Amino acid sequence: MLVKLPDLLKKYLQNVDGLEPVDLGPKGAATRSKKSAPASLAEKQHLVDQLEKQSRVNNRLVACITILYFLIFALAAGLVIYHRDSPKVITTILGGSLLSLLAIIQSLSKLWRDKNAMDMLRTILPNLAPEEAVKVIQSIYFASMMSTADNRKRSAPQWTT
Amino acid sequence: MMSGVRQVIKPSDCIMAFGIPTSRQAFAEALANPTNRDFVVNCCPVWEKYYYEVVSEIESIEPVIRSLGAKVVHNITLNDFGELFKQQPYAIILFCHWQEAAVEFADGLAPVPAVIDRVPVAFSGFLDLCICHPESLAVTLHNTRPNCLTKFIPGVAIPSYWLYFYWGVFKTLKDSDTSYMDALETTIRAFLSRRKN
Repeated sequence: MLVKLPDLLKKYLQNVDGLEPVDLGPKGAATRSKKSAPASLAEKQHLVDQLEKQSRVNNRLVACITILYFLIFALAAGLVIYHRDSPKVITTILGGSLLSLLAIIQSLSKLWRDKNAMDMLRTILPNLAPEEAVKVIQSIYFASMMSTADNRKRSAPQWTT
Repeated sequence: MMSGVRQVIKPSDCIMAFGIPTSRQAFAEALANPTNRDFVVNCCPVWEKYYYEVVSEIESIEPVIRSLGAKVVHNITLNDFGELFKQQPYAIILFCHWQEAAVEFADGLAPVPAVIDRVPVAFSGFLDLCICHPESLAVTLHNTRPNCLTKFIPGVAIPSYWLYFYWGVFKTLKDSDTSYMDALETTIRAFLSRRKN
């Protein structure tokens, strides 16, 4: 099953209290540091295992999508040759295949980005102390949250009564 | 200096002051100089998380608060805090971190007596402490600055929540001729009724 990288990271951060909101007092900080450090060694290993599993799924998906890409290309080329006397049909086939190839490239690049991030995390996480691992994961997770929340933040908030 | 609990207050009589970092530069400086600091160093040393939960909310709300007429100041030091009173505001809303009987300003932790010293004895306005558990500061203020009204948060203060709260307060102050206390009460009621719904 395909699990998105932010979802994996979110689950990990939930388990190590890495999603606790930032507050203005010392109490929250004390709770956070007490809870996250001892628990996160096992959690870190679990995350690495999950990343390995997802990385394998992603590799298979990348292979399938690449094959699909060439199949669509070959199919379009075949149809163009078959309908070589009909410019209208050729235009439709080329237009359709171009659109579908663009969609495939988009999903492929997204998968590739996820795969790269997963591979990077799988490499560096085992060498990090649990507390440092939490920071790295927080950094990646909240960066991805910011990019998805960009549109929400850009629009001025409205006060409704 | 203005006085009176029931006098009509407008957002322009209020100053929202941030002692916590509100920019990447201030955040990096705090991390690079951890001596006498606690907030960024121990509570949230990851910029992406801090930006998402605190700074982005400030960036989002600040223009609205300014458009309502309130003044907003960033990265205030202990001295800046004392200087704020020279502008003769009615209310100062202080967003700072609290750690073991000290308030963290942009230049580091300041013990309660040093903070109290910066509040003029004659100040008869409202000091709104958006700080977690600043009981000892509030009690000392109450005892030594009898004309100063103080509001404080006895529990955990989440900046993003309180930013929206003060937006509500300023909106109430702008839209109706009311006192700061009444605006607080109106906003609290609005928040509580929303929570029930």
